[in-house]
Amino acid sequence: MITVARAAGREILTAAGVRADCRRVAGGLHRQGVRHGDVVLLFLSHQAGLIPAFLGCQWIGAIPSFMPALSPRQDPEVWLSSHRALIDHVSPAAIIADPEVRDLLADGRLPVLSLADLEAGEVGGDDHPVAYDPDGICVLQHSSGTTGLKKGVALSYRAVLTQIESYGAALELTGGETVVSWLPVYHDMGLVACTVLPTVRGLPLVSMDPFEWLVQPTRVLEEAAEAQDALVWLPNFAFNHLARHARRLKPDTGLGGIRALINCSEPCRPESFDLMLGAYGDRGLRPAQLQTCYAMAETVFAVSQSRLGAPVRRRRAPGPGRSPELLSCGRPLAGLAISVRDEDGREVDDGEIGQIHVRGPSLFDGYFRQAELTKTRLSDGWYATRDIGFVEDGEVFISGRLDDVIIVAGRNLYAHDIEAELANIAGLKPGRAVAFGIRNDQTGTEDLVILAEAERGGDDTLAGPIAERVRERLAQVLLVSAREVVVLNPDTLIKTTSGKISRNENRRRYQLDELKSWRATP
Amino acid sequence: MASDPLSELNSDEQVPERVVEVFRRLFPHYTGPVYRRLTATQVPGWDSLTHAELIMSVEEVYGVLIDPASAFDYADLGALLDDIRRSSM
Repeated sequence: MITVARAAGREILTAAGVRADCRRVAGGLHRQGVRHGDVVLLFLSHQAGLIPAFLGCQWIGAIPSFMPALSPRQDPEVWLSSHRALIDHVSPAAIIADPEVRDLLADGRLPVLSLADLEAGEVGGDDHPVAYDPDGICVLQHSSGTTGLKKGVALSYRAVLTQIESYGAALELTGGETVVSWLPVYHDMGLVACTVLPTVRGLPLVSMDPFEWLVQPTRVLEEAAEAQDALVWLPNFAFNHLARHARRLKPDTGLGGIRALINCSEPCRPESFDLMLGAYGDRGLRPAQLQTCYAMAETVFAVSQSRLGAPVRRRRAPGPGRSPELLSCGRPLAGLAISVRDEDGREVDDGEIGQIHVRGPSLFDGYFRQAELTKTRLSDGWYATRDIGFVEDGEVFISGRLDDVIIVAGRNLYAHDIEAELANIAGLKPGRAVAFGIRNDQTGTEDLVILAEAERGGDDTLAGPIAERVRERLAQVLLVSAREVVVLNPDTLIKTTSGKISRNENRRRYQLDELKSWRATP
Repeated sequence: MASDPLSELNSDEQVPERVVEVFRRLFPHYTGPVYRRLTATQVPGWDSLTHAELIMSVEEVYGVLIDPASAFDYADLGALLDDIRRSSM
């Protein structure tokens, strides 16, 4: 049973209702010429029809892929342009979209359908879904946040079902749990943990709108408190957001019955757990209810999971000096192997830091139609995660990233994509910008900082207008707001010995306030 | 302070001082004037999360709750203040 909980009311879907809607979608897609192996992109906002649409594609053997719907604060034309390259690359056989963007997406090359049109059709068609090939592609999961061509992670039925089986075992599911979620389904945590897992395992799901959750954060706890043995997956920043607004929790809400609040998709921070316990300890929240998971789309979802029912272990990273405390992400799932390797690719001992590599039956088959990229990350059955960490007593600890990934509120933003987006801002020197993240202890996520050199011949009165153009571009294209945009004098940014602009060194100098800049005053 | 706290939202020009205080706290990197036509692209750090913080903080100042379904539709700060005023009616 799926409950779509919105401020305006609740909508309940039964399994029979989902099945009927799914068959209507399947019939409608088939009538539009969609066939086995075709990709269908789903640009749908939060609504009851998300799961029937997803399953309706699979009913006829097509490959669904959830994409971000148009955000309330986004320019429709900019939103479309951010997806155009991906649509061209994937060549979907059809698109299912919200009515307000249907005309925008329609260019005459492929059918763009609304869910209402599909669900209004006859059930018709086959009584049973097409037989699936275990090695066929079950779903395309696209990476989030980049402006370039998003990576389409191709996941087979075998990989997905293996993950659901082994992750269910790691969670020790009994079938009596309820999943409560506000996460968007185009994100792997929202799709796999909070949609596919309950659907395959037959667990009730309570699904909230992500934007409504932001302004009513404690509703997710109220829903979880009312449900039986609730499981709630949350990115790290959500723990801070919940803790800040604890006074909004309804007075009669006790949290002692919630099975687990699972921290995932951003670095899991012990101080965020401490804030939660400080804010909700008097409502019955206990340390053993706060759990962690290490996950990525390339393994369908979870690589490791902490043991539910026991407090998560804390440990400092090995090495000189006093490193920050880390939370254990638990043990690898059954069947998944982890290898921690040094820069030369040699496996290191337990307790030593290196790059995490993963191998196992729930690993992806490659990036969709991106063979060269796949080769750089997948070798001899091992996936190089680009995550830095160590294993101790069989438990995985993650301490950082090799990539210049900035994780803002659970979204992965790639520094090189942001920098490329700033290449043609009037007043800035092309190719002379760096983007990096700065940890924000209050929000529990990272803030984006931009350093960019001005063109020669200007003066500091131009800093404000240039910074505003940068902010406008970031907001429109990436839906992100930089904490600071620093417009620098020409030739200020530090280069590496190979001539590239050094993100690390420029970040260090920014933090030490050593940069000679035209500080933009908004 | 006005006797009816919500009456200070009626101005078509001014942003009440209490809202300005909230704004300064949430957006410490913004030092410019706070006015009704101010938009997210002009303010460092005004993203979806801080937008939600702004709404919840202003709700608490005036003791009202706005419809969460419309909470992300505002074109500028003035539209948020107008919705707060409507929510109190």
